[in-house]
Amino acid sequence: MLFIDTCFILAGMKRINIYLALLLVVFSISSCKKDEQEVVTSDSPTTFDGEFTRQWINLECTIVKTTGGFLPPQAARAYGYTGIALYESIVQGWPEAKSLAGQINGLTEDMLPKIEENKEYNWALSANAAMAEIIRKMYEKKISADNLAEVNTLENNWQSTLSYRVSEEVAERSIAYGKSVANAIYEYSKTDGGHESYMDPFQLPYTWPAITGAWIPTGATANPIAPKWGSNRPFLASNLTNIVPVAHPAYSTDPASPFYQEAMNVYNTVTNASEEQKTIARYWADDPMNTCTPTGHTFNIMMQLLEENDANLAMSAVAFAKLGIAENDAFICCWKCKYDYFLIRPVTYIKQNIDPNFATVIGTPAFPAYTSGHATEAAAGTEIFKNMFANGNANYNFTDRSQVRYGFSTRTFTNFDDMALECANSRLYGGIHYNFDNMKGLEMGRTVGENVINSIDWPTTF
Amino acid sequence: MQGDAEYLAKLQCSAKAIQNERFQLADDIRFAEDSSIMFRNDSVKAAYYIAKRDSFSAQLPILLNRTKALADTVEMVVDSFYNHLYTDSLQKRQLDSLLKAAYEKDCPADIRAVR
Repeated sequence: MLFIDTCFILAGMKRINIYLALLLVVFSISSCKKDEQEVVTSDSPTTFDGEFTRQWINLECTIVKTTGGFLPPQAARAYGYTGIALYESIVQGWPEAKSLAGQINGLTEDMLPKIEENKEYNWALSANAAMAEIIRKMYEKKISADNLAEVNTLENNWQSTLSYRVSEEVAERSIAYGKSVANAIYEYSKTDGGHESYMDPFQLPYTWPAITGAWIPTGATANPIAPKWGSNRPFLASNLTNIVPVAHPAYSTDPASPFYQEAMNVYNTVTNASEEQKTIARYWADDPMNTCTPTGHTFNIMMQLLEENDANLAMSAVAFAKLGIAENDAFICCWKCKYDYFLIRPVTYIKQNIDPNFATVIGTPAFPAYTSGHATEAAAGTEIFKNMFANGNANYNFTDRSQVRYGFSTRTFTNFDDMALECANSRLYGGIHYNFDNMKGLEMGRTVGENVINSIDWPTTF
Repeated sequence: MQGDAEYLAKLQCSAKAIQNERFQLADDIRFAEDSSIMFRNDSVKAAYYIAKRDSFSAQLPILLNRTKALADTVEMVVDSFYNHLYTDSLQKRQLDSLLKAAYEKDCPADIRAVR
C-alpha cells in the first residue's frame, strides 16, 4: 500500500516546489526498495545471520557434558556430523558452494535429498531443522528428557523467529528439506564404525597387545576407551594415510635412556610446576566431570570467533563443517596411533621407576599416551581458525572467554599457534603426557587440519 | 563499565569457589581409587577405599547442579556484556582488563589460589 500511495502522490506533484518533490522522491524510492526486499524470502545463505547455529553448538556442548558415553572421540564424531548436516542443509541454495558428496569418504550424491526445482526455500529454516534433527539422532539412545526438551524448544523458538514473513508453504518445504538432509547424513554416519558407540565406549572385547612398556590402567577404569576407534572411517581417507607418526623413543627403564629422560622431564615439570602452569593444566583439561571434551572447547572458541566476526549462516556452516571434519579425523588418527603404540602413561612409569608417591595435577584419562588427543585436536582446530579468520596466518588477537562460567579467568592469545601449543603443553604440566606425545600430536593435528582445508573444495567468499 | 566488571568478577569468584570444590572432589575420588588399587591384595583396606570413593562420588550430582546453575547465570551475563553491551573490540578488551583487576582485587586470595 505504501508503495502505491507514495508513487501515486508522486505522479501529481507538478505544482509543489522542487525541494519537497525531491524529499518525496527519496522517500518513495526507499519505500519501493523496502517492499521489494520484503517479498523476497528465498535469499542466499549468505544473507542470514548465523547466530542460531551458534546456539545449537552451545546446546550440543551441554548435551555432550550430560550424556553418558560421550568421551572425547565420540563427542568429536557427533560434532563432526552436526557440522556436515548444517553445511549440506544450505549448500544447494548457494551456487558458490559445492556439496561434500563426492568429496568426503563414502558420501555420494544419491544419498542426499534434492531440492525441488523452481521452488522457493528458506535456508535458515532448513539449517535450523537440520541441526535439531541431527542432534536428536546423534544422541538418541541416551539423551535425557530435559535435553530433548531443550532441543525441541530451541528448534521451535528459532523456527518461529525465522518464519517471520515466510509463507507457510516455503517454511514447510524448507523445514522438511532440512530434516531430510539430517536424516540422510545420519544414515551415512551409521557405516563409519562409530555408530552408537556411546552405548559401548570401551568396545569390548578387546585383546591387549603384549608389548614392553604397555599401557596399564591408571585408575579404577579397567579398560581403555575406544580401542578400535582408529579403524573408523575418516571423512578424508588421506588423513589416515598422511599420518604415519614416527615411533616414540624406545621404552626403557635405563636412567640414561631417552625414554627415562622424557619421564623425568614430566616428573620435574609437575614437581616444580608454577601456579600458572597448574592453571594452564586445569584450564585445558576443561574441568573434571564438567566438560564437553576438548572438541567442545574448540567448538566454543569457534563460536566466539564467529560471533566476533559477525558471521552469517553461510560462513558459520563452512566453519562448523570444516572444524567438525577436522576434529573427527584428528581423533581417528590420534586413536589409531594410541592403540598402535599402546604406550604406558607417565604416571605409571614414574611410580614404577622414579617416585612411587608421584601424583599428577589432573587425572589421567583411561587410554594410552602416544599421541596426545588434546594436542592433535587443538592443532587441527587451529588450522581451521587460521584459515577462516586470519588468511592462513597464525597472528590473531583472541581472548578465550569460554571458561569464565566455570570460574577460570580469560586467556588472551595473539597467535593461534601459541594457543595450540599452550593446550599441548598443558598435558605436560598436568603430568599426564610426555613431551613427545604433545609435539607429535601437534604435528599430526596440523597435517589433518591443512588436509581438510586443501582437499575439499570449500567456498571462499561469504 | 567499571560496575559491570565488578559484578562479573563477583560471579567469576563464586564460580572459582565451586571450581575448587570440583577439583577437590575429583582429586578425592581419584586418590580413593588409586588407594583401592594399591591395596587390592588387602581386602579390608581395599573395601575401605572403595567405600570412600563411593561416598565422594555421591556428592557429585549436587555439586554439578550447583555448577550448572551458576554457570548458566555467568554465561548469560558474559553474553549480555560482550555480545550486546560492549560490542566493539576495544570495549571488550577494556572490559577484560577491568574484569581481571576487579577479580584480583575483590576475590579472596584463598579462592583464587591454585591448589
